[in-house]
Amino acid sequence: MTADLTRTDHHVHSTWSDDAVSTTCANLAAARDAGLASVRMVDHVRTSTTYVPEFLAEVAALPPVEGLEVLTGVEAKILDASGRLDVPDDLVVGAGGVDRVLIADHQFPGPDGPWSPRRTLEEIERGLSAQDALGILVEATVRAMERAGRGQLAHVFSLLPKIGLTEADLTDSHVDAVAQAAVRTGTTVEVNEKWRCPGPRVVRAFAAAGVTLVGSTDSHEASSVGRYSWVAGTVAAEDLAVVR
Amino acid sequence: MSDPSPVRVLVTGAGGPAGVAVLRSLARRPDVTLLAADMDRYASGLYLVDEGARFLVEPGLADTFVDSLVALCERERVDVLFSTVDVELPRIAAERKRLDAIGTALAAPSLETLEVCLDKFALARRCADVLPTPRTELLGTTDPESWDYPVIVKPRRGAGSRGVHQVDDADALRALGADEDILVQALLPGDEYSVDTLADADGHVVAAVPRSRLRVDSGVSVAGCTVADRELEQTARRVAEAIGLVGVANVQLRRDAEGRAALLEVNPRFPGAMPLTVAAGVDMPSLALDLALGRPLPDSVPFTELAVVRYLEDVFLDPADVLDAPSDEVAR
Repeated sequence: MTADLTRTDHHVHSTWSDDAVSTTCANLAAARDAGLASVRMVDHVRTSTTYVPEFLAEVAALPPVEGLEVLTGVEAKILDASGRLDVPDDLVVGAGGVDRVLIADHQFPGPDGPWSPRRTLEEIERGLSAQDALGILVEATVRAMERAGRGQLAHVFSLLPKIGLTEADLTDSHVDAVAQAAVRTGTTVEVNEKWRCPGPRVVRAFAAAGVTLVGSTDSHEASSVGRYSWVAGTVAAEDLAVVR
Repeated sequence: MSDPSPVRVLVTGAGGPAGVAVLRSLARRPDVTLLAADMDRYASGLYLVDEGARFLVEPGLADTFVDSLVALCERERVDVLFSTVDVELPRIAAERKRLDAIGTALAAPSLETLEVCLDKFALARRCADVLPTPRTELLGTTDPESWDYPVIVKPRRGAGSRGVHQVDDADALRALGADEDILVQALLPGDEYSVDTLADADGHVVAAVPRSRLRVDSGVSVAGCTVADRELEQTARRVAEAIGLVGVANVQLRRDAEGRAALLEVNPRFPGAMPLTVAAGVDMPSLALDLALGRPLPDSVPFTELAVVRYLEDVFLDPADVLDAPSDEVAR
């Protein structure tokens, strides 16, 4: 189920994201040149986004490349502790729509909406325990997976360093809760080159639980599509094979 | 709890001398991860930061510029944003709350300070009572016979030396018409100084470093030296207080006929000649970063007298590493 992560890149941004510089076409060529078996074209959305149908039409019109699977997605942040996602109301997921919704921890999903890392640090200083903060984050992530239908966890736990925590602060039951929800909901989980997460302990636990893992560069320009160093060195395919 | 992760700092205007100066200063800090942005893929400062930390952004005047910059800051988890581009600064500062909401601190003076600096007429009015300021009037409302010539005319708003020229008599001034966006200002005959000035969160001036611009090429100082002169420093301090400065500004002074330091204008941003001030002992980009992060600053930072001559430097890279143009490309 988990192919060699480095032959997949399930998080590639194009010019549909306003901070990315390469077209879907340039990314496709880069994916082919990197020898990838699978690439997911992903762009950022928020509730006000209207471009998704055009983006999908553009990807659908790309020339086929033999041996290269082309998938689509939109990336949205988790808005609050209930797992609400920052996606347009009319977003279609599945047939006729995007293949997956990438669930992003761009901000801390507070009970009243997104908290900036600084606000989160202040709440922790004011008495929110680190374990409670992690509990809220894990619960919101689980709920977001349930809401997304077909989801993919983008750079999961990349938020932790910004709120003064690391993956080592996660308990095994936190990790297990995310893994079980991912399996239950069919959510894929990326191992993200750019943010170097999740780390080996979490990746092995996810693999052991049967989570589908994919590689992700979170590329914003074609030259980095399918290029891995941390992912290749940290969680090689043979490690994962041993786990299973 | 672990040590905090590196501070992620985005510097816009990476192609300009000010952007490069800020990048070079902050690159020396081990606790900083640098990101660079510019609208031009050949902007040299982009290539002073790691691959993957280089971003092409829209022109500062584009309608969606601020939206896309805020989005970039959120996705890249930018802790502190330094803008070194004149046209961007007031637009970004007007949206400081949106940046705060996503956890990005803007290392720039307040919008109110920026606005009074960018309107040279408002600036002259603000400072006229607290320090020597050349007589300044609007072209459309002043009597040409009331001036001693020559005088200087310049745009009321605008950066650098664009549109600044000398007018030699009342007839020539009358011939310019009655445009209220043009200023008439008494000519200051003496030497000119740039004073790099940093004020802390309470508006207390931590350092004011006067520089003489010994040689200027295309508006950029290519040779200069810091000058320990109490009067210049004190004048810049009074300007900083008058405009409510928090952060870094470049105060331009010129001596009047009596030899007093008088106010020309204030550029409320990092100057391209900042490396001299840094080398003289006051690392203003680094101090401005601490200020943006809410860390305490020293009460004062001394500087030494130091001269500089400047030269172009080269960054060599694989042609494939030059960022792609943001345009339609066909698959190879």
